[in-house]
Amino acid sequence: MKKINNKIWVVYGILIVYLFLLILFPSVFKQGIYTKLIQQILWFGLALYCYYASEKESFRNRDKTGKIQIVVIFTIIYLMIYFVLGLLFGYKVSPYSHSITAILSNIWVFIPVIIFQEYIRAVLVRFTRRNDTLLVIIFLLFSLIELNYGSLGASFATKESAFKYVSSTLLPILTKNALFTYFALVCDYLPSMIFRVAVMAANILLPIFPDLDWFVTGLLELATYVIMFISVNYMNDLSKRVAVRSSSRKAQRTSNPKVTIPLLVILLAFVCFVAGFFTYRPIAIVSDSMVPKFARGDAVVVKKLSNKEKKALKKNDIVQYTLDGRTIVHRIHKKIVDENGNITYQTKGDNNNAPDDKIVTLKQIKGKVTFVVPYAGWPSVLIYDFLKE
Amino acid sequence: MDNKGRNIVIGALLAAIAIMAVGYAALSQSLTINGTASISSTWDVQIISISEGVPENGASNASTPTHDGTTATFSTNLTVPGSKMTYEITVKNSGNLNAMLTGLTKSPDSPAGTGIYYKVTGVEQGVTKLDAGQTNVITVEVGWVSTDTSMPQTKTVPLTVNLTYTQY
Repeated sequence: MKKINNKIWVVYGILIVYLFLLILFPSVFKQGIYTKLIQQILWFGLALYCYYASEKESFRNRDKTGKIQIVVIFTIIYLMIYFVLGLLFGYKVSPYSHSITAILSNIWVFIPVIIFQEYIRAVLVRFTRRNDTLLVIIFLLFSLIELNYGSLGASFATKESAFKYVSSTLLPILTKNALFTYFALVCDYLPSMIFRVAVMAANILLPIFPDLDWFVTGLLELATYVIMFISVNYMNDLSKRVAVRSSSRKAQRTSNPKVTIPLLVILLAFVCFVAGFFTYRPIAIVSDSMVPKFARGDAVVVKKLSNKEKKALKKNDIVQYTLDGRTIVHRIHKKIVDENGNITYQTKGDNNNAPDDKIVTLKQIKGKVTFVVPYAGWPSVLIYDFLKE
Repeated sequence: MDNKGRNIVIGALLAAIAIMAVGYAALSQSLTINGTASISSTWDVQIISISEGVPENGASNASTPTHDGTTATFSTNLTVPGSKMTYEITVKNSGNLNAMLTGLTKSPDSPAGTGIYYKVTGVEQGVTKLDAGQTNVITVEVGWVSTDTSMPQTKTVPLTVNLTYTQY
């Protein structure tokens, strides 16, 4: 194994010191002088040092162009899906100023740092000589540097906010940095640079963002990174096989995206079903008010209803509705039609002595229970209890 | 798929993006816009805490104050004319860019004829700046006008304060 260039250790040292300062003094790294000048100089200086420390050793790998093309394709698809999702979830106006000077200033603040960071990552990865420990250190360093320590305290203020933060921010950052470290290993700095610059440019330039919730944001990012990894990994395996002509059928099956992508699609479809993106969605039951029909820990599958279908509901149908921010699943006890033809419902839990106090309007009704899956709701109920403690 | 094939796919996707941009321009008037984003990968201006409230003359919280992004929600019980509750909202700019308060809305805005008043102090729309790394503290007062002559009966008052920060 080739010896690792000693000059490279300096870069690890600087990054570790930088990370500690970032954690200890987060607000210092938000000052205008830092974001507009010092960070660019710092990352440029480090990139320049890496360039000379690497003794201009170039990256060698087969089919680099093909892998970059794959990443470009998935970057465009990711951005398309991200913005089209706004048609479902609505949009929010971008908080960024769109005057020419502000756009140029924002580009200066964010883009050079991305370019230098990815170059530095690629040089570090190149000189690991495929040492797993060093690869993990690089992945951790760049992940931790990306975290925003200024808002970390607020993100972990409650169990619920911590769960949301981990799902929508921490996990995608870790996955993304694992992927980019892998990219640096198999196709140098360009793929990760292209992806990050494209996403950042879209953020800076576009006047609106999709108003996605934390779940969809995390899901979309994770799915994109996993699919990119599978595709580039497959292409990397193919190029290696072509080179050494020693592929086995077993190895071919292992990394073939024709096997893994359908599995991922099935997983995504399941997640979307659980999240309620389809006409039918599962709901976990947290109380015993509907015993014996179903009990705490069971899951019911609810069909979303149109306004016409809501009006056609009848006595004894079991409906899901919202009340003061809570979701309730109870049976229709009485259908009420006033003199103007407006329809409302009185509901009751099968296990309760009296009907519910508040009358349910059509707007509150979310769907009708179609069938019950005993015990399937326990994981959700336990997580819900834990987060709300 | 060879390199040429992948280039064709990239070209087609870029063409699709161009078509989408044209479609967006045509449809932008009818798109649903839900306010201004408070968090993205590089912009992070959000409420980090709300105080439980300082009660006077028997006021109390009907429910715990909550916040989400740059929206704060309160529900206050006011028992007699002169009761009031004072809350403090802390907003932090954890992003890298300087921000300015460009919008401040209260909902309901003016509860005319109810004897209830809302007062938001500490910030001024179009003036208050929130530089990167800094915080704003906003004071919200919900009260029952002391000169109100309506029958003393507990009033439960909901209030949502929405703050909009944009880059300056």
